[in-house]
Amino acid sequence: MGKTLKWRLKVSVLVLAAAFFTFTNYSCRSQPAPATGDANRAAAQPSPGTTAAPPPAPTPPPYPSTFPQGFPAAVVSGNIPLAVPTPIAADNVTTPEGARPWFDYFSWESFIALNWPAQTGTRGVPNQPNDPSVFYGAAPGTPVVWGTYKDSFELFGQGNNRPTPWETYDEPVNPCGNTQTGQKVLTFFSKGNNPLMQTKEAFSYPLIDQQRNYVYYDIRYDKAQYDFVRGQDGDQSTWLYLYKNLAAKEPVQMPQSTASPAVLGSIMMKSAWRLKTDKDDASRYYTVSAQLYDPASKTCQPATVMLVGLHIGHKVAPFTAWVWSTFEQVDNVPPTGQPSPTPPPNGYSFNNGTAQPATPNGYDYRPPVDFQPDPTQRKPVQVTRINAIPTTPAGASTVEINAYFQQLLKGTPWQYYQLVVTQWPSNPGAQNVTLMEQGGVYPQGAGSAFPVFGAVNTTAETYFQTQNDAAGAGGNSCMSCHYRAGQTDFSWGLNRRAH
Amino acid sequence: MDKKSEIALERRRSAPQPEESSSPAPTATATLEAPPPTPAAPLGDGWWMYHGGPQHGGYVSDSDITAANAAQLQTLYTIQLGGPVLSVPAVTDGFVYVGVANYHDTQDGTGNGGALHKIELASGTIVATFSWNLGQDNEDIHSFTGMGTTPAVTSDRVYFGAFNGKFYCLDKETLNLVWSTDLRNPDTKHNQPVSNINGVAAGYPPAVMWSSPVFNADGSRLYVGCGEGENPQMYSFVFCLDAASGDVVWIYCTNLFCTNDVNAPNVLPEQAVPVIPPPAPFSIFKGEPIVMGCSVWGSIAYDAESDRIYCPTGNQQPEPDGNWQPGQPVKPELPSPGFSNGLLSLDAATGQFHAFFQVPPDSNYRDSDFDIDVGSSPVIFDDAGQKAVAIPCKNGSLFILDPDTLTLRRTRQLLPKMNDGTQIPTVDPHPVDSNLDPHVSNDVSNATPGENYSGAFNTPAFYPGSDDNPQTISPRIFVALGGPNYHSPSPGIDYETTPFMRAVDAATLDDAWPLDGGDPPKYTKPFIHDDANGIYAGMYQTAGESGLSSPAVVNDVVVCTTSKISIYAFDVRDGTLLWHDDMGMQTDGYNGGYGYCLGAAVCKNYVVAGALVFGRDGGVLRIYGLPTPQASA
Repeated sequence: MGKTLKWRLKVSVLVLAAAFFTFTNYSCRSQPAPATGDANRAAAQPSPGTTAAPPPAPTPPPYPSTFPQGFPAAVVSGNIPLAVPTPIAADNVTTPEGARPWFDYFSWESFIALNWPAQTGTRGVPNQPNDPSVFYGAAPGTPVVWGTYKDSFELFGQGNNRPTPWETYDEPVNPCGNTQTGQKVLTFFSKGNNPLMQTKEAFSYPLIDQQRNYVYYDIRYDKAQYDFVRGQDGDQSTWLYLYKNLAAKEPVQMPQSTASPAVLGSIMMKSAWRLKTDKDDASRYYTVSAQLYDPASKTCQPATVMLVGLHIGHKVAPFTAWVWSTFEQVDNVPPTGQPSPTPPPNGYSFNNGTAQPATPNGYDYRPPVDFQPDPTQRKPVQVTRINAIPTTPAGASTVEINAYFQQLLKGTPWQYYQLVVTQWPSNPGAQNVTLMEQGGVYPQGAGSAFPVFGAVNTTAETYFQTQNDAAGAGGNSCMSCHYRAGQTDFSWGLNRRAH
Repeated sequence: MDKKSEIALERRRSAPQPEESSSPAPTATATLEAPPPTPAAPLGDGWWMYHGGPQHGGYVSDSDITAANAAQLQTLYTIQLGGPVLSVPAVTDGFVYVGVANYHDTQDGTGNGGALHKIELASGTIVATFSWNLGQDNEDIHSFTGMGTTPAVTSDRVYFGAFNGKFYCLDKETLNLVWSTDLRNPDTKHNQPVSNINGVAAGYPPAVMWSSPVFNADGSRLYVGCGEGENPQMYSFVFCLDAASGDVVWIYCTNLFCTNDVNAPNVLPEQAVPVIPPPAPFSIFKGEPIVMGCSVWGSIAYDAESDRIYCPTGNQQPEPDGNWQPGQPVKPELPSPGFSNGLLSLDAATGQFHAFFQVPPDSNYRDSDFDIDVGSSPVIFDDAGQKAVAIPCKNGSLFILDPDTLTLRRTRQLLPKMNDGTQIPTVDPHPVDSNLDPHVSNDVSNATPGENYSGAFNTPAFYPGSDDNPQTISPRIFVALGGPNYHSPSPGIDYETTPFMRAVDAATLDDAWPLDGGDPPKYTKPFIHDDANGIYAGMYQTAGESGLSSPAVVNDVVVCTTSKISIYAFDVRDGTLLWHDDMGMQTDGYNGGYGYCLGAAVCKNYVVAGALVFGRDGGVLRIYGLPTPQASA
């Protein structure tokens, strides 16, 4: 290694250390305790609308002894974290890998808050966010906070109509006119057919589950991001959903979350859903009622869909290249590259439980892009996970943090979800981000993304799992892909769908 | 140590001194006619033409850059050029001369044209620009509108061909136009009778020049190929031009007219000559050639001792399997008719045919390879006391030929196979349906015709060995592997098994760098862990990273650029990665391309490389150097 690299290594470590000290400090409890409020979380107004007394919240289990000394207490809260917690000096964190538990904690706490039951009659507001019993007692199908965020169709799919204000549910253009207020409309049957990818993006194909049904995808934005792109009523130059305005303002900078002052910044969510059938145990899934748009008949049909994948992108200071978390339902695929000896009770969603057919790059084939209306003509895609859920750092790896939070969420369908990976810029701050248009290169230009590659979701990036397959997308990770949308603050939705 | 100079072999010419130019001072855009041409230009110095000289060895010894200090190379300047770079710059006499493939700042405001820049090495400043406009409907098949060749820079002139079919001669000082000759359309002023636009009206691309010019020994004549490989109605020609006037001296059509006889120089196909009879010395062949295509893409090499030129030729048109359908048997492309897929040797003075070598069928990685092409340029080198010509091919093989007869001395397939000799499915895959089946078995690939995107697309570099006694480093040849990375069935090379550059011993063609004991074996040294970025850098690390460039050797360091888009310096001894830099990101189709750096030029203590990268400007030029380049530059 040349001197240049050694020097850069030293600088990187120093910057990393400095960045940690600039993070918001959590209290250093070695054992978790239920929390009722937190200055580092987005505060929400208590809801007056609860009627039935929910069950009492369980006591959080103790942390394993292998967790870091300064690991923050796990809380079940509807307040979205506004900062990534900071290791304490005693934990001696000097590498991004060593910092992974804190980011995984942030991912899980965000997951809980975003999946908190939503207040009715509004959007993006948790119902009694400081009362864990509301979360534990939520009935199946209860709308959750992120589920009430604005769909990308409401922002970019309204033709010449101006997108409606945040609280509004009545959209001028709605492919499913029979939708009830707040009901989910799933119009995309594949990422490949998604307007995000309609520019001949390679390797984007539908995903077909073991029941021969398509997976549907949904993209939503929180209020900060939606309002930023929608712009101000009196200033048309701020209407960034119009390409002419967007291009003039690139590179754009969306609002970011800060702990002090407490501001909830931009969050974008991408979710993957499969149809509920009588062969499924719905108690292991978050389920909702939805309208499915059939591109063949151009009609919508009601269905119950089950959440199988969830991306969370959160622009939270000082991570101007965002923090990226991705979750999956645990029954999607076998836990390693090969089928588990003890498959889930109703089988895997995207794997037949055997080693055949082979999945050399994580899948056995890619279905045709064109929608196949007849389910009997569809062939399930055999999927395996190529990039294992991180097992480092030892004692507090993603696998071990998953086990803790799944225990914490016992009694809810959320216990059947797992964090696949958290990816973040390990050299945070705008000064460490150099966009491609400015000559930057990944990963250093993206603030030194960590991990660099191998951060994908088997339901949303089924065909991007290997570097070879994802070469056309910039790489097999959230940040390597979204770095290419740097001019639009890493949002492909804004990059490709402004019109 | 290590100072056996090839450059000395290429500095054997004595030419008349030019008349003093009275051109105006450098301007941002210079298009005025310069003073009358000089009778013969003296040749250049440094990296003054394609791959450093007319023999294209790509070896530089008058530099302080060595394996001991290559890690200290640093970026001196990063320069935006108003468009992407699709060529290797020329670097001589303190200046870089580099063209852009698409120039955004054309005078007509269309943003559709080309430019050649002159850049001062010491300051990184663009001191002069020559640009041309094309209009909106004039571009090559890849939507490039400017140029993709390395200029030849003599003591007073700059010569290059462009995608508009014109060959330019500029004043070196000012970049003012001295003369230009149209090689696509008849140019009677320069005794050029050919019209090479057949099929254009039907939507096929016109004739262009990807072939960088090369000079004869005294600098009085230059040679360039002009054609197009994707137009089944297009002819291909080698032009010999008078360097002083731009007048055509002779033309050789590389489309064979008759099966049992070679073409004579200056005999032109009737369909390509609109005015009959053509001027002397040209005559007409009535009828159609036995094959079209056979375009000379690469730069022609010149050997002063024999006064011969060596012209690489592309595939024939139409392809035998151009309309192949699943289920049909494969029709092997090789052997192919005429002067296709090979190397053509001509007399430099007259254009008389000397010899032709065609890539043999068994040299393909797969029998089902098609669009074989020899897109690289030949390298003339000292083969243990005998002269030889090295030429690699898109089919993955390297050939060492006798320079007189072009008979094959030895060959090697450069793409890896398993230790038992079987092909690797992910190397040179040929999917039946590129959309649906990215995992192609050998059986499918071998039964499906397909282009080999893993082979050699560019020119080798020759390292002459150390001059220690006994010699401590054997002569070796470096060949970059892998082509364009935008093809979905094969995004670049199979990076896990294939090095983006192969280092072979020149005498045996065995690997010159240490290999591990794996299956297939891989080089052990050409990568490092980049601790600062948490990644490995170098060979076998990045998906889709192809060589596709022409390596350059400076003393005991070989420099290779890739499609990532990165530049690397390796120790010629064992492949140890000494230094690397990322020049930019791939474009995914923006700016008319996908991300290329086609190689670096080395001159004194400078390493210069241009690229097509992501970004509104689309291109970048980087000047690298040792910490104090001025001291010895």
